[in-house]
Amino acid sequence: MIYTSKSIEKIVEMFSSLPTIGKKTAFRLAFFLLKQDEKFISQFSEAVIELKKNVRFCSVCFNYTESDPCPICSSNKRDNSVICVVEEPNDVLAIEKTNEFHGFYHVLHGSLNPLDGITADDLKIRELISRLNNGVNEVILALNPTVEGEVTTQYLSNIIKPLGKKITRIARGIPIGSDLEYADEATLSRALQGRVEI
Amino acid sequence: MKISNLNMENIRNHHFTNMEFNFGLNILFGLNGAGKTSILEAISICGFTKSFLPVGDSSLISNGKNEYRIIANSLSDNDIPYKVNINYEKGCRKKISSSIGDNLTAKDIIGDLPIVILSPDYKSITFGSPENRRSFMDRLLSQISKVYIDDLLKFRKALRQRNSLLGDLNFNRKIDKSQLEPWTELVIKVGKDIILKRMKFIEEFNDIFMNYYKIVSSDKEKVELVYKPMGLDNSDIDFKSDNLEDVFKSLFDLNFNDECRRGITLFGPHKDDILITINGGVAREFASQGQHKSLLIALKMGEFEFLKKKKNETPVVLLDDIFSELDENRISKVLELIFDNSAQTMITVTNPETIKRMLMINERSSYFEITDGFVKRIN
Ligand SMILES: [Zn+2]
Repeated sequence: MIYTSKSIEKIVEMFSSLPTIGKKTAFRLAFFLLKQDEKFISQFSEAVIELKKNVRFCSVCFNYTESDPCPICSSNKRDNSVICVVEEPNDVLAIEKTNEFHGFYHVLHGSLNPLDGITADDLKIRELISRLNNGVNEVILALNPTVEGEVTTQYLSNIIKPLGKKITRIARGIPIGSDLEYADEATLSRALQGRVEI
Repeated sequence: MKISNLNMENIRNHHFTNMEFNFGLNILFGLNGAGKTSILEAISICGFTKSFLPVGDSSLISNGKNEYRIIANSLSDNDIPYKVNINYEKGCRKKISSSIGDNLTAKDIIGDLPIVILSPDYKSITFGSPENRRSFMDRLLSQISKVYIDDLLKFRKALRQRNSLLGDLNFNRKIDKSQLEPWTELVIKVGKDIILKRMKFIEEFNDIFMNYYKIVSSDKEKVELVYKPMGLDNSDIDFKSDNLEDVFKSLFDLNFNDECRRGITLFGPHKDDILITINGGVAREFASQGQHKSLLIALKMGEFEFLKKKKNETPVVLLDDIFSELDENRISKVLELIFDNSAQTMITVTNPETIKRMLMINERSSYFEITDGFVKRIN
């Protein structure tokens, strides 16, 4: 792409490297930024830098957080007998929004996917097992209803079962092939209520 | 189902083609390479989201263009309108919308516009490898059941993942074998469902097929379809619905080392075959040229009847260049079935006279002359 400004070209390239952003949108964003005042621009770029500087993984649940352990893990108002296992930090957000779940979370950071080279060692599975002490009665497996999510659910239940914990999976109200992230709140809360033991 | 109107942009040499079809017979004639088959391919895309020829979507796009677009308007047997709109841009996901909604996937629309296609390319169903017979079966069952499509997609994904893991296990012995288990379980669970559905289909389809073979061939041979799950003989293993899972499991257990060494899943519906037998012998080896033709037509006529019965909807029939392969006698049997069912049909021919002389006066037909991607309606 040849444009009159090297700086525009560069920012367009940056924007279009982001997920779901195509060249067209990248240009729109660049032109939008050009129209803003200095203050907005410095706030914007600061926010990007702060994001990476301040946000890290919670050492307990592996969700994103600025304080370690994260506010959920350090809360004493939550039910510490239940852990809900999800694939991505986004999923925690989606489930929190339903206001139906008051236990703790564990983020795996993916699902088993041999084609992409992701094996059990690449997920936070060992960390999950080490959390399953006496206080925990139930593990809810709330993975995406994809082939990979289904297999990961099966794998986890195979290794958790010998520990004598109750294992449930969220009910299939969620359309096949979609991510938890995109399920609407009503569907998600129904799925949480109707979870089934495996 | 009847297609009233087809609108195609940038499909091969058609830059902009709009056609109003007759609800009876539509004869598309023109020289080779004029763009007759491309019209059938566009209709196939409306039904299956794919051409019936083994080509990728980007090679369907006209030279120098970046996208194609197809819109078809149709009416069901009960006069309910159905519209489908397919747009493909190079490097992007196909955009599919229809009367049921926007942003659809292939699964959402397959079967909504039921189609039966007869093309010289399908000779391989009786001649070729098991894969050709599996895809004959899959195309038919996919149009009937979305659950079947789901199972197929799920199975293919699970299979690729399992094969990839088997390959890893071979190179890296450190990988925990327990990781293979859930993939194996899924392959068994979904694979079993697919096999049972195919088994039931062959059981039901056999009579229809035998009947049409009798109609098509003047000969008295006895033909039959024999389903071989995983390519195995029923005499080797007793396949029944209640023991299928155990059969599957023990095959995997017994052949674990072999599977690891080769890095592929050796058992499952992806190994299925359907033997076509003629007087007890395998047609692929024993049938004459003429018998092969009769077998293919009987399969296709059976497909039409089966699809119509299950969907309660008359499929649209696409006949691609059949005069190059079939004699008038066999073609007349196909036409009889079409006219008896008042099925809408699009047929491509190089010379319109070849078909004209086979038609009676009272049959509804329209002629379209195709030249270099341009269509001219003759009557
Ligand atoms: Zn935490």
